[in-house]
Amino acid sequence: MSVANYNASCKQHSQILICVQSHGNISLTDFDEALSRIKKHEHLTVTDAGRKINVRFEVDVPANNSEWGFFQPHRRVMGFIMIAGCSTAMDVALLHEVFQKKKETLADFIFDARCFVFGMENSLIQQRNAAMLQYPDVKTWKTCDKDIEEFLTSVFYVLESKRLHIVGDKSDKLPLLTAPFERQQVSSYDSDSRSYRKKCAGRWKKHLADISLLSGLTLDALQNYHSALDMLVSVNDQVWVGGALEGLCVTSAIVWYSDEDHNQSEAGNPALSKQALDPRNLVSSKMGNSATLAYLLKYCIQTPEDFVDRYKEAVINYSRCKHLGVVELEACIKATKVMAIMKKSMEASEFLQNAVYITLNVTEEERITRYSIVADLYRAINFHRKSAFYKRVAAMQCVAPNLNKPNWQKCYQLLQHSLKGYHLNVLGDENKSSFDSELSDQVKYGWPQVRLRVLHELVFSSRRLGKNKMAVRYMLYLLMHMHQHLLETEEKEICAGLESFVGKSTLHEQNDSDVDVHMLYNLPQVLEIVPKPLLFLAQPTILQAEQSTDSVFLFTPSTYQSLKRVEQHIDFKWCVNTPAEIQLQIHNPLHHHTLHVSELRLICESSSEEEKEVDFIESHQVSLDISPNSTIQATLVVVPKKNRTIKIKGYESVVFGVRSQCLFSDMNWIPINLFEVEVTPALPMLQREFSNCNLNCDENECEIEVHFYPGEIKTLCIPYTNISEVNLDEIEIFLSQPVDTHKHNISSAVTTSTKADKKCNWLKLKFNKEELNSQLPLLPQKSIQIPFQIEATNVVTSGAFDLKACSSDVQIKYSCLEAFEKNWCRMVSVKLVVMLHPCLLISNLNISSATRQLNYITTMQVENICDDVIRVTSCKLNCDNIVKPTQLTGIENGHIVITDLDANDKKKLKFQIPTSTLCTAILENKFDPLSITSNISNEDFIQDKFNEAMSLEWRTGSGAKLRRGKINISLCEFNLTNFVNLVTAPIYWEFLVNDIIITESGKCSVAIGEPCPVTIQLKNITEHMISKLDLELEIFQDQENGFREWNMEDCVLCMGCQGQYFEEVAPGSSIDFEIVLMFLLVGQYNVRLKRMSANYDGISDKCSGVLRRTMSNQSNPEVLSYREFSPKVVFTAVRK
Amino acid sequence: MAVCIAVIAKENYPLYIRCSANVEDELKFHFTVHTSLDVVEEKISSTGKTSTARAPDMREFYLGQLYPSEDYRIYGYVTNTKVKFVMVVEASNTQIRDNDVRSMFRRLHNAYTSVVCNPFYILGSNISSKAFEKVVAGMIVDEQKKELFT
Repeated sequence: MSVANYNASCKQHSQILICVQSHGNISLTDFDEALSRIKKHEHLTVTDAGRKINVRFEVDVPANNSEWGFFQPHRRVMGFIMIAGCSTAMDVALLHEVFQKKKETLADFIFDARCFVFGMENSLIQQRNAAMLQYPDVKTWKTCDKDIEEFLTSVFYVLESKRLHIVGDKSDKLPLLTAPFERQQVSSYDSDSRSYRKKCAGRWKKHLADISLLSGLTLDALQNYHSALDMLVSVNDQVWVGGALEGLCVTSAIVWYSDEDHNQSEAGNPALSKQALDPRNLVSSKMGNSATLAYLLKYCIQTPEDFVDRYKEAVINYSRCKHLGVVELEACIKATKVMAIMKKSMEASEFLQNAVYITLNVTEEERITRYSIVADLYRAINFHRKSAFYKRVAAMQCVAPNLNKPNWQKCYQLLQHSLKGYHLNVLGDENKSSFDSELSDQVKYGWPQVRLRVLHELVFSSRRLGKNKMAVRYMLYLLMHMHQHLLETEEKEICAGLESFVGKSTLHEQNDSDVDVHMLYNLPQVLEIVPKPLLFLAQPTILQAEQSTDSVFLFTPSTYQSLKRVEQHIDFKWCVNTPAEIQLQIHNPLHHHTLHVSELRLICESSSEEEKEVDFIESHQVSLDISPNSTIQATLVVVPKKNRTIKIKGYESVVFGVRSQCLFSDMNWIPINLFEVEVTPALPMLQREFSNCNLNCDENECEIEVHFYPGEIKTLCIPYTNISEVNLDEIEIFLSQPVDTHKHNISSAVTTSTKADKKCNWLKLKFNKEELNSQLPLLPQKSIQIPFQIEATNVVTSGAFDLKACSSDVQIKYSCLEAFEKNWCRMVSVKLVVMLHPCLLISNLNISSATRQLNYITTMQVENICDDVIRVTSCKLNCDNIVKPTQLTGIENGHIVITDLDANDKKKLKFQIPTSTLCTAILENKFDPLSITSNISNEDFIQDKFNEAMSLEWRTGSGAKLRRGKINISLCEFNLTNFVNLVTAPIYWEFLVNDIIITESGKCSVAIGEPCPVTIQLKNITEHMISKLDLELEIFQDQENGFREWNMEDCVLCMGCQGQYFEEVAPGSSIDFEIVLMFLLVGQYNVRLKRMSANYDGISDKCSGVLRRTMSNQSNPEVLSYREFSPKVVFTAVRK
Repeated sequence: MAVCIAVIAKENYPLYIRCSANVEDELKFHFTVHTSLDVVEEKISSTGKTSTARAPDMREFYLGQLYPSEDYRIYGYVTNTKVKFVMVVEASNTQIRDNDVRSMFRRLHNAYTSVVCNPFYILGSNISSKAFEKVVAGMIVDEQKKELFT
């Protein structure tokens, strides 16, 4: 026996072998169908005998195997089926002859034979012979089941009769059964010896056991094996002991594992399970019940260990005979299969090891099959590495150099099978559940040298076969996973190989519809992905902040914990039609090859679930070269096209002509699965026109510097252009509170320190909303002027200062209608920096009462400390008001020009201003003119009014360079006297001498000795009642040397009461103080009325009491206001 | 003495492999050692099951002969941390006894321990220690040298 059955299994010992052969012109498909229908009858229940037999159908059994039928009857062909195709009666006749001939050659072995003829037309069919059945077609072969069953039953009965014959044969003189190789030796045996007879009997027993097993009598078989062993061991018949031992082991295995086997086959064959339900089968099914099984097990080998030992013994016995190589090999295969079920891997591996070393004279093809089968068996016992090793050995055998026709196809297939053993996962089923965690470790690490070799071989064989796609795949795997183990030459070779495929495969791909997608995660490796916010100017912002907290809690740990590594919500937004950037860090892990990556772009997904949108984003692609072992930064540009959330899930690229798609979720070195960026509706975009020179613009902020003099008013226009494609419909401006900044260095305006930010009170910013809105909507490519009115007010001008700076942030939010509804806008931010330079200095402000009632005198010093010529003007004052300078320049634009100051010029100004300018305002404000102290609290108000009354302005330059501003004198220092003088006195005095009013001139000439009636009218010009008015007439002589003579008793006679008291003076009414004076001596007398201070607070009377002589510049009457004193009248007494 | 000595990491990738100098086909030994891992794993899993009752550190590190091949005998040894040592000995070399192999493995284990104790050695990286190299070199005596001695 030269041909080994590499599919040998224990089960075959219980199967009757039927040979199937095709003949004539029958198509392969028809033959296969017929065969498959026949093969359904692998299990047959012979109801009459109550047996269950197993059948094995084999196509083309090697003839000489049957010769081993005595040694192992399952090798013997017991039945013969011929499947033939014929169309004419002639063919049938010819076929009959062939069939007969075939039967004759097999006559020694077969018990029965059948020939099934297909292809005859119904009319032509003549069933002449029971062994030769004719049918028109395989499909219409209705009697198949019956035919085969009948045939098999007939075979069985012949076998059964043989068995019964052996059982019944009690004769002493049995011939010696021999294996084919023993026949020559038979003659040498002494046929009369006792041992010979025992050997005969033992061999017959063994044969009987084999036949019993075949005919379905397992118990008989077991018993006979035992008795055969007893007999044969005693005569040391090694070969047959081995056979008996194997038989025993095999039968035990069949008993142990028949259930599994049965279940499998029944599940696969519904017809059979139906058959088992037939009541006639009850007899046979009894076999399977537990009592019988227990009885059977008693005769079986008891433990798996025992089984291994017995089988080992059998194999050892076989191995002693060189003719039994095939039997030994098959025994090893069978044993391994059983042990794989028993999970005895170590023992099984020993058997397999043995099987490998059995030397047989076999063909190359058989050797390959053998290695392949060994590999399969190793896999069955979980020795994957061994399995892979033998697969590879088999593959190498396919293309061994001594072969004439190397079989690359087979080599390639076998190599592919070996991949799993080397834990190589080239085909990308990494996520399959079959790879548990431990295995995936091994996938990751592996044995580099061994892997390299196998992959190289695969590349070579696939290229040889022209499977370029697969070759590319293996080469890519090598580069991706093994590059650190590759030598320089190998790496270059692979890269060159890949590149050479690029040209071919691109051609291929166009035709190929199923371009398989690779995932080249580390070729190149993307280390980092950073989506970038838009430029500050282009960034969409929320128009009005909403309060959008879903939870009542600002922070809850539960939501925090649920933020796992799933996605990153990005806090910036992108905008429709605005290109956005994403930065990638890309690394080339190869040591010697510059990687050319082309068509690199992002894989994005829209959040909308309704439809698979395609045009929601425009992903621009980039090509780059990455030099070996280096990392570069690439920027990808996308342009969102629709207003929704974009999910960036991965990237796509073409490397070596291979398109690869990589998802972030599969890249565990990137902590984020996907990026979600919200896209706002399209927004307009403003760009500043760079017309003004005084601006410092960087990317985010624009700073405009303006220089001011105190009190200056300016309108600043900032021009912008709409550079988008969208109309600008809405604009809103937010001005921040100006803050003081300190300029350290005037020349470099950027270095403004905001450290000591204070509110700035001197800068007023305004913008004109109507003017702005009138320019809307702004069409694309049109410009807009945004006007600001800037005023520097409230600047203290009395003290000198260096330079003041103040800044204000201006936010201009703008949007289009669509986005406005959704609360989106864009924002431009401008920082206005106002630099305040000193120009005019006002000092020594003094207000005194004028000689004329209801007037006051203001004096001040004005100093020009800037370099320009400054003109001081006023719009309220007129020529009469100005006392100094006397020469007036004229009137300009309704403003009276007060003076011109050259650079660093100083001038003193003096004005006489009627109190009435203040009066109305004071009255409006319910100002109490009686109480000075209460009025002091209104100081600011009065100062403002005073400032208003003056309305001083400055202007410099002319024409386009004209600068003008207000002079705020309200911030100058005011003392109490100033105040008192500023406020209108409550009483208006009118001096009458001889009924002639002389208040204005204040002079009167009288003759001595003549009575002079003096009436002083007091008019209450307030709205308040003046009560308790205590008045006293004062007469004194001013010596004009600083002294006043108060003792006038000798000089003047007063007729009437010098002091009078009035209970009250109603508002608007007048009272008269009447007295007649007679001057006795020539001279000048000052006469005035004094209001006693007892009834009001504030200014104490320093002149009351006995003091009769005072210094004139002390409590200078000039300075005293008309609150207390009436205007004095100088009486000049002359001789008549 | 030994023809090939290999140190294999817990994840079954080689940390160190060295063959005697006169071996022309080193890859063959890679395959041999790699396939022997099947047996090592099988042995570990089977002893693991039985030795649960015993203290784990009492486990025998030495696995004995893994499998015989025509030309070589292959021995295995597993440390507590599942680092495997595999030694390939020529089948013709009958001088080596089981005990010799055992002591060789023990020396190898000691050498490996000192490699791991080196603070600059990163666990799981290839072994490049000179001291270890020396120990291994002592065990692998190539044919030429043997001829010189005799």
